[in-house]
Amino acid sequence: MNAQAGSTYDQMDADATALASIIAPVSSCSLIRQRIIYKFVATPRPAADDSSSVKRSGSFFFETLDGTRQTLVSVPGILDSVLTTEGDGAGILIDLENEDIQSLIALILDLPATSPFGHVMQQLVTAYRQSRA
Amino acid sequence: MALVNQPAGKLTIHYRDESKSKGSTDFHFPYGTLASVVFTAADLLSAALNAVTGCAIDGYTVSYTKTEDTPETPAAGSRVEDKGKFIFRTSNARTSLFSVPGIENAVLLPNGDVDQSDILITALVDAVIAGDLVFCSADGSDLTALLDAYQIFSRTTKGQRP
Repeated sequence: MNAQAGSTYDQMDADATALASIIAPVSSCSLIRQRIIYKFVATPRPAADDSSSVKRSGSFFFETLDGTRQTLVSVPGILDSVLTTEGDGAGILIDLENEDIQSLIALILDLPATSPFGHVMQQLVTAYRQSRA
Repeated sequence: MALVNQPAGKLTIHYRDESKSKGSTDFHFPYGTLASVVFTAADLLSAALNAVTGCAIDGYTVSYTKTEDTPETPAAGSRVEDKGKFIFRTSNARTSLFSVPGIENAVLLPNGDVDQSDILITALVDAVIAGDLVFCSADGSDLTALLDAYQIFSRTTKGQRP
């Protein structure tokens, strides 16, 4: 179902629950999940860089302060310009001194990003480029 | 038996590369975070991600999911592929539809139409078109009348096999 623009979460949640209760008697299946999705589309659609590939991604691992919970943020099409160029891991490790990378990490921690189980991530563990065939 | 929040909401940023392949970045956030706060963060994150990726960012979705903690047992033999398809007329003279998986045989006529005089169906249609619910078509138009309703069978996917 689509909801009118500007509807609040509480309205949609309540109306979805009300509608589900009306649908339930006409279905032989059981309700297992209800999801509210807000969708934003870039208009006009921007162009991707030449030779960009979603298979070449930046993997950022975050963890809780005590290190017991971790989560992964994967960025498709990571630019070569944000990878380290010297020392061990050159061309693989993401340059944590890069200003754009620092801004991104700060925003992720400010969200605050959590694991899927709700544990708030408080620090970056490591970040590197990963490629899939 | 109740719908309970998942521990976290989910923000997904959508990408497209030169070959038009799609990719995404998933973030989770505390479920209680206001949608407006997540939208602001998503705009900032999209801009920050745009600076470190060669892919185009096509948009993002924000989702909040609730899960039934003790789901009822589905009726024996019920199949989600056996659907009732409901097509509505909209206020801008277009149509909008939704389907009900596992439509009950009791609300179907012998020819496969949904029995629009059935009290359960009139209650459903009234709630959608005459009720105070926020639902509308994809372009935001009100749903104004039921145009047609009938049984359909969708193709069985691997995950839907009994």
